[in-house]
Parts: sequence; structure tokens; C-alpha cells
Amino acid sequence: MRKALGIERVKVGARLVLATGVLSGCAAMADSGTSLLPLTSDELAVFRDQIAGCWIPPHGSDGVVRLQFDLSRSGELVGTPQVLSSGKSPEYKAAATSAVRAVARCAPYSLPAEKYETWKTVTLNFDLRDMRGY
Amino acid sequence: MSFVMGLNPMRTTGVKQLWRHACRLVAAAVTVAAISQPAYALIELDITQGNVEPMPIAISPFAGSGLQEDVAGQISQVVAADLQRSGLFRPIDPTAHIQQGMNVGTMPRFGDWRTIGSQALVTGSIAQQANGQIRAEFRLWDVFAGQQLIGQQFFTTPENWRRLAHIISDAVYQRLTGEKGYFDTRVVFIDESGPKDVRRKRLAIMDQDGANVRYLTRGDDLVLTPRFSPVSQEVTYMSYVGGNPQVYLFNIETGQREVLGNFPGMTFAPRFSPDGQKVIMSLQQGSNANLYLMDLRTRRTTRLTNTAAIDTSPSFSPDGSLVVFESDRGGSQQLYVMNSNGSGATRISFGPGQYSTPVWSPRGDLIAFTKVHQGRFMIGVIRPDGKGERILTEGYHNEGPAWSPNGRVLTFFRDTVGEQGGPQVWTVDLTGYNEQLVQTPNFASDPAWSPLLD
Repeated sequence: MRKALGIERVKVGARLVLATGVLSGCAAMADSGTSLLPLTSDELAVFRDQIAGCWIPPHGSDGVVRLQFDLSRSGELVGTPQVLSSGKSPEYKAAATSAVRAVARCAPYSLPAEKYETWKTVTLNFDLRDMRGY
Repeated sequence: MSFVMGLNPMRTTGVKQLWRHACRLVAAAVTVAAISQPAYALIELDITQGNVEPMPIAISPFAGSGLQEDVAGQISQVVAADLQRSGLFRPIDPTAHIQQGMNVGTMPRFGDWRTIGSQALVTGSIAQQANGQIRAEFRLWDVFAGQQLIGQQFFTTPENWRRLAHIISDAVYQRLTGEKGYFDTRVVFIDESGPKDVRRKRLAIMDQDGANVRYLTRGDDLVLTPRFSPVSQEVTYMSYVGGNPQVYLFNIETGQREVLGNFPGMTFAPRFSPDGQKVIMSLQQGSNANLYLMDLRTRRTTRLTNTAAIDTSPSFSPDGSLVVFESDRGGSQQLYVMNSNGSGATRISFGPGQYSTPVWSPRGDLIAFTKVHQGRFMIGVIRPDGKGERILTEGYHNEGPAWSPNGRVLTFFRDTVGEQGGPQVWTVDLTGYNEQLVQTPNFASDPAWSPLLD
């Protein structure tokens, strides 16, 4: 709580958080395959560019946000991306939120169906270290 | 960019992850005989580039009960205007909102907000309290993650509604950009009224968006170069009282005014130290000017430079260890950085033209300046080591940059040609693309930004 020239600020109750699609995530993960064909550098570049196009890096942020998520065969996001890095600063929180938002906003992803086993779980490092200062 | 196979997902934790392990165990039991290598691989990519565009955001018109219906609508409009002016957000027209009539307790239908392209959503309610105060609540929602990012409640008097809106804007700005906002701030400036040859100049103050203009002096004496204390509601400025320019200290809350020091010559360009305890300024003696530091408690003055040149416009680095200033000691007006005790002055500007009015960013990473070259006036920034000079805006006459407290936006004044022309206050952000006029009742010059009011 703070008081600023007659304005008193308090946090509003409990946060309302929606349930995420854990069950659908389970269904996708149970579907295992046997072949692991690597993505070509072109396929990776297209995937990376798609995410970069959906990401609005927060202006005040710095550092790296690492997150992991699962995709269905049709390229849809399964569940909510999981942030693997951690931080408590406002800069980090803004960066982490922006990264999760970018992944959710960008789906579905266009990736080669025959290589699904390779890309069904993805880790991304959203790197803001060279972005600050303009 | 890297391609990683067979990373162990067990190192992650959390409820969902545990559930995921359970799923995998079931899957493994079913297919264990068929699998000769890890059931999945991970793609790992580094994303080092993003899309620099304003974030689409929806500010749902705040709900208001009874007398506060108008106030509620105005608060959400001011929040939208603040965010829009920052250049980092693009508020979506409320008439395009699919989910209408929301209050702070309404659960958003996130699909509806995604449909109109919104990435974040602000909802709020204003309610009248029995004691005459208003209760304001707002929530910031992440539309794609489907979760609340901020929920806050305020109690204040109805006349504080604009400040309330700015405080909400700052909270939204900080949560989404990671840096402090600058909306709950004020700007002091020189209000200029009357014909061009006999302008009446008054010290005035306004909210950063141009609202709530108040006059601090009556216009009997010429006033120039007001500068805000970085830590308090105090302003230092120059005034010609009785024809002699002197540096003044003015307390905005109390209205108290005093002359700083009694010098034999004219004093110019005062500016506070980062702790607000000292004022650094220029003192003219003959055809030279040198820099002096005055301790506001002891009133003791220390001479910092001693040259046969004009040294002026000093500005401290935010940690107080260095000072940037302008000097013609090398033949033309250029920027120099020295230690705060006056030693080790080094020239940092080397481009064509003359450089003046340097101001150190509160973030410390840049110095803003005015540059004149071939009759054009430019506002630019340069790193303290003299590298990375960038011009943010240029034109017939631009002058006097001052930083927002978060070091992302500069305010300055731009003069226009002709009998009807006059100065107006503008802002430009560090990209140089987001230039905005600040509406003032009369002509206005020499703006200076306050710290956050909190």
C-alpha cells in the first residue's frame, strides 16, 4: 500500500487465473513417435522469424527469458508456455510476459508434419540483451 | 540458434510439469517396447529480434456508479491517451470492442479481445464512497495468456481523478514495458503571452499531458531556464529582477522564493545535483563564464572551472560523479565532460556545428543536446564517451531538451517563423519517430520535467 498526495493504493484481492489446457497437453504427449528428423536450417529460420514477428520486446527490459512449450501436430499451442528462467524485477516480469504472449499469439505454427516428433516440444530463449537503449 | 536433441525435460518443475510426467509415464507403459530412442526431442532457438511496433491494447471504458459515471469514462480516456502518447501502445477504439459494459469484476472473454487484435486489456470501476471519496479499481489482463497481470484499488477525492488516471497509466506502462512510467509527473515551463516584441513571460506548471496549467509568477520580471529538482517539488530558475539576472529557488508547494547567492556578476543556467542538495550554475565575469557549485544548506560556493572561455549549461550525471557542460574553450561551442570536482575535462562532441544545452539522462546512458548546423536546430543524444550521436528531431528552431524521469522521452521547445509564430512545447521519444505537441493555453518555452510525484 502507498499514499501519494492523498491517493491510497492497495492491491485488489486474489488474482483471477484461468485454467489452462493441461488435459489436452496430456493427450498430445501420450502420442509418441519413433523418428527424429532434424529440422533444416531454413525450417528453423522460418520458425524463428514467425516468432520474432509476433514478439514486441518490452522497451525497459534486459536479459534472457527461457521458456518451453508443446505443440500439437497441427502446430497449435498445447497448454501454456512454461517459463524456465526466473526473476523478480519489473524488467524481467515484463520480458517474461511478452515472451509467453508472443508464443501464444503466433500459433498455429507451420512446421513440417513428418518431423513432428522433433518439434513437439520447443525451448526458446528470448534474448533482450542487445535491444535496450534506443 | 541451436538444435538440441534428447534434453531431459525432468529438470523443469511445477504442477503442470508433474502432470506432464504422469502423462508420459502412461504413454511409456503403452509403447515401451517400440521406442528405441527418446520419445521426443527439443528444438531450442534464440530469439534475438522482435517486432518494434506499438502494442495493441484495449482500455474498456471504466464503469461508474451514480455521480461517478462521467469521471469513470474520463479516467479511462486519459489512460488511453497517456499510453497512446508514449508511442509504445496503440489503444483500440472502444467502439470496436466486442465485449461491452465491463466493470472491474467482469471476467473477460479473451477470445473476443483476441479477435480485435488486442494483446492486453484494462478494465476498471469507479464508485462513490459514503465519506465523499471515490474508490477506483482496475485490472490489467494479458489477453493471450488469459490471466490478470495487475489488480489495484485506490481511494481519493473526486478532484484527483486525473492523477488517478496517470497513476493507473504508470502501473500499466511499467508492467508491460518493464521500466517506470512518467505519466504522474508535471512539467514547469515559461508561459509566453502578448505580442512578439513585448512578450509577458510567466513561470507555469502543468501535468505532463498539458492539463491543469497553473501560474507560479505574475509576469512582472523576465524568467528563464526553470529546472526541476530530481527529488522534490522545488524549481530553480533565472530571473531578471531589477535588470540583473539572478538564480532563484522556488518551492512549488509553499510558493516560497529566494535568491541563490549574491554574486558580483550574472548567474546563469542553474541545475540541481542528483540528490537535490546542490545547484550547479554558470557565473559570468567580464567576457568569461565559469562553473560554480553551491551547497544549498551551507550556501558555500565552489569554483569548478577557471578558463578564459564561456563555460555554461552544466548537468550532473545521475550518480553525481561527472558533469557535462558546453564551452567555447576550443574555438566553437562544444560539449565537455569533467569530474564533478572540475578536473579532467574532455571534449565529447566532434560533429560539424555547435553543440549546447547538454542534459544527462536520469538513466545515465545518454546526454541530450541542442545542435546548430547550417541554420538548422537539432535535438540529439550522444553517449557520455562521445560515441553514438543521434539526431532525434530538427527544424527551424528547436532548443532546450529535458528528460522524462524514466529517460525515455525528451521535452523541448520549437519556435515557428513569422509575426504570429512563437514557441511551443513538444516531446520526442528516443526512437525519434514519436513526436508530440503538448497543448498549452499560450506560447510556451523552456520545459523541464518533474520527478515522479510519488
